[in-house]
Amino acid sequence: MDIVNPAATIRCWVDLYSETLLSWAYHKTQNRQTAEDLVQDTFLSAVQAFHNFKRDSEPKTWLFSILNNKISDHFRRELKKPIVDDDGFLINFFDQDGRWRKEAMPTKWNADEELLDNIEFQQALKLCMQKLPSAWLMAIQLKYFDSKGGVEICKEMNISPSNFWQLIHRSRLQLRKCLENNWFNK
Amino acid sequence: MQRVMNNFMYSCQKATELLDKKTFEKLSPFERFRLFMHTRMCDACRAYEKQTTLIHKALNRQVSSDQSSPTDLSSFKEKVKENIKG
Repeated sequence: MDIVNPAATIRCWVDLYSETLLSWAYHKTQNRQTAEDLVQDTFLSAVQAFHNFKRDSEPKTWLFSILNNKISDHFRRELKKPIVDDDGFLINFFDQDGRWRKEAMPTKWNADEELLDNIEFQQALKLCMQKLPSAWLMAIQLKYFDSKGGVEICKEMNISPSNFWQLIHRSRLQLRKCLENNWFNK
Repeated sequence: MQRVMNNFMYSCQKATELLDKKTFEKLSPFERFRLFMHTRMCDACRAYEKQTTLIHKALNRQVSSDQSSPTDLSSFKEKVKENIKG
């Protein structure tokens, strides 16, 4: 009879599947460290849950389902925090009448569609993204790096659609300012 | 004039909110109208509209192939395996 040693089996799966799991986790979270932590947690959970693994199942599929749950939990934790309107962020951009503050007003950009293919511009955008608060960055990651639509994301994450696009809105205000300072006006 | 503007038009703050909300939900005809009335008179928000659209497109184009500090695959695997006892 074939006695399976869970630890040895999982260690083998680490060799076989780390790369593909890391690639997926990175694609979803856009953060190397987060991706590595989530994949490591996936393997450790797999050891604990090995008794649930059906022998004739595909290991990769099973590991991916564990990983996807961990990715969802990761987003859910951060996105649970409610958006407060008077938290001092918007005041940096608009005065009490809702008009653009002079120093925050958008200036004309010399930009065309070709810029989208410019690697350095993409890098600048990436750097600006890294500076966002983590909850906002996650909203961006969910919107742009997840194939589901906004409504489904909101349902799954248990946040209101209005909270979700408020996060996106704030992120775009911040990204716009960052790009203006670091790329267009440099 | 200011009072008319306040009643019929959005502030810049509200206009930028709607410009971004547009990418998620269809605006109501009333929202669309008021937004249009604002952006046709406000250079700054017209600029914002162009720029936020550019950012939206750029984010869609972001390729997750950033290799700035790639995972050292073999040491990652060793680290994980070390933590799996048995």
